[in-house]
Amino acid sequence: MPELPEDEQRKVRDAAEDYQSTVHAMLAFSAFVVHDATAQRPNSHFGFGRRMTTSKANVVAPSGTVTPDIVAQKSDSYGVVAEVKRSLPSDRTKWAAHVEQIRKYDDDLTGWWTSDARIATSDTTLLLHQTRSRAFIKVLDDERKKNAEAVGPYTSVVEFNRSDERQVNYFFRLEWGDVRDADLSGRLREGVAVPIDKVIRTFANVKFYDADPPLHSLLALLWIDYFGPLVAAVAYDENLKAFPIDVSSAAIADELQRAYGSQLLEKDDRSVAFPNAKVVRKALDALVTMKLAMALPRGTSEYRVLYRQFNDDILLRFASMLKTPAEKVIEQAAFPFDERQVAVTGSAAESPRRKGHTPDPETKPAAPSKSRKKPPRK
Amino acid sequence: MTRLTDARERRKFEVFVEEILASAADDVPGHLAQLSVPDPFRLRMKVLYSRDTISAALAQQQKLGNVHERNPHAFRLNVSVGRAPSRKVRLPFAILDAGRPNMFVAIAVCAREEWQALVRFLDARYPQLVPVYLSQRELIGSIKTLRHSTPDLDLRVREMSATEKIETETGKRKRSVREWTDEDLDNLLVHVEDRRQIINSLRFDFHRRINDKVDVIPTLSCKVTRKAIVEISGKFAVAWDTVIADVVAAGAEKLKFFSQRGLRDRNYSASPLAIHFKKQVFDDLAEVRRFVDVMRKYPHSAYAVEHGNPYAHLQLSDRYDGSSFELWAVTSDEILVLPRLRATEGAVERLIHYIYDEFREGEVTDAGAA
Repeated sequence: MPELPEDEQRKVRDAAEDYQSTVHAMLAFSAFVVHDATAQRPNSHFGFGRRMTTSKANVVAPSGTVTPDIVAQKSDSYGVVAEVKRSLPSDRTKWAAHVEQIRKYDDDLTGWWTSDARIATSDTTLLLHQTRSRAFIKVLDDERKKNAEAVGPYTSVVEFNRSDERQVNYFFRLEWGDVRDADLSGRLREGVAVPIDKVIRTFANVKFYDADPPLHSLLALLWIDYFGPLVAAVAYDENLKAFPIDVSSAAIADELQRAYGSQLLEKDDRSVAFPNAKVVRKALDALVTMKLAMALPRGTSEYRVLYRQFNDDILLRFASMLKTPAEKVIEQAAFPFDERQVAVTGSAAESPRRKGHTPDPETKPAAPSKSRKKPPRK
Repeated sequence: MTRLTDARERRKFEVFVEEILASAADDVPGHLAQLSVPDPFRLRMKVLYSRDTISAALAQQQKLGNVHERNPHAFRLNVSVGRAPSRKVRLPFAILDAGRPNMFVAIAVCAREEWQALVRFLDARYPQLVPVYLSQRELIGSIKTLRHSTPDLDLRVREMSATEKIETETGKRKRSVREWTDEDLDNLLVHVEDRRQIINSLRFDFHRRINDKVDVIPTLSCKVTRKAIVEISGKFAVAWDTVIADVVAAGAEKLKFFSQRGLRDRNYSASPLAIHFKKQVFDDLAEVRRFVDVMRKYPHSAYAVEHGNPYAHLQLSDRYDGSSFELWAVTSDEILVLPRLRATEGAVERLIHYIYDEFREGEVTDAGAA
């Protein structure tokens, strides 16, 4: 596998990190709305990508369905609908689309967790990363000057960033407009810091929201977390030089939803499922292109993953392989796996070395070396 | 202590020991209590954890012919020991039920080289057999418990091996130290703390005490290591009932604490752990980078580093049994360990021990919602 240049490595990690940061920022903001200092408020709820119905009077999409990133209900009479943008296109002419998007949300939406699914007071907030908030606010003002209806009356902009001080925090501050809840408004005006470790402790395994994750991140998670434990149940295939694992995208998506996604949050007929089978299929198709899986013609399993042990950084490996043209994949995937792979488990006789656990050369085969050989020149 | 130098005598002793270990499991401790162990033999024990029966854990090795089972608890290991030239030996050993769920004690009476070969063999049986490791805190805790539970015995620390950090021209290095003392345990611990040493093993003597009079000859001399290995000279029964019981209890408690952490075992509700350090370790960015570097080298794992500066976030797996974890270092004095879909207690133990050994020792706690 060709090693990515350092700046590419940084971009790859940043993309994975941006997605995770967005999830954390969404959780932190939701927690800010639904929790007081000690516990969850009565009648409070939140959801990601919840299907909400617009009113007939909606100026952009009357009687339609919208799926804001966050719907957070503080009480049975007040809630916040928020859209999160960690980054925006460099072409500012495209930002008007975001203005229109939040305009749709500034409405008497239906879909709240109340008896009639409506709520007395709701505000619409655009959560923008600090690096873009001021510039976007200018666009917002310009749009409003052109058309007073372009921005809703109850729309606000809250900027956020991750402060990498001694204590890593997500920091939220109201930069434009207001929210009509006096408590939230006061705190947002001053700025709210939510320690990241509290987010991780409270929502330890929420890793997705209703936007697709970067493909290399999803592949790394599947490789380490989903396929890894399944290797124990299969025998190494000498011809394939891999552990063949039959999987279905629906089953993977279902487990990811339970473990890391939508099923960790409140579930009802308005909630959406994430990550969905479509993005899982996309990841599995990418493995097919990388010669690390094959599509199966029939049966309950759609793919046979050809699991191999990688000794380098899985995130960077998949990012690099995704960039590799399909016709070059064969020679690259074959390296460095032309040697026999060591069984993951099943028999400790095949388990190789680790620190403090010196292998017994008489009883087990040698472990694959951590050092990587150079591929043969073609 | 007598020393067996004659090869035939040694062989006879080994045969006798094998008969003891192969006797009924309940009788083995009684027989060992009666045994006088000559030099260069030593009676050594190692505490292990297994979800399987020992026969099942060693079944594959029996098929390969490396191990012969004489009784469900008694085995003979065929192994080469020594270097240039090596020699093949048939080493008898027993693995007895330690009286706590899934806890076992491997026992052998043999010379050092044979014992080291047996430990290598047992360690390599992971994940079927999980080696129990004691942190410094657990090691000291066991010995303190031991002191309280044996009021009729006077406990004196005789030898300590430890690791300490030293500054050199090329940076920080670790140095092994071995010290012989006649200190009370509390004095020794003050000394260890002052020098920021990490204890690897402690050897101590038990002297009988009647009223306030203490025997000058120890009734038992005992060495306990971080690898939960106990080596004794003297009264086996005292060691079995006290030292081993305490080390087993410490191991059992820890493995129980580490169990049922995987998401699949918990209907997908998270059960994170935190390794808490006394110092604000991650205030120094170099330590964040060092932590990431250490974890990249976690043996027999797959890893992905998502962030390395100014905080650490990575995921890694244990290829031996498919367990996987997410690690976060986002505060200055803590590492959060998030067990993922599968996370066995053995894999948690292996990971924590690796972090303690290669990065820094801390204290593991539950890290539920703060």
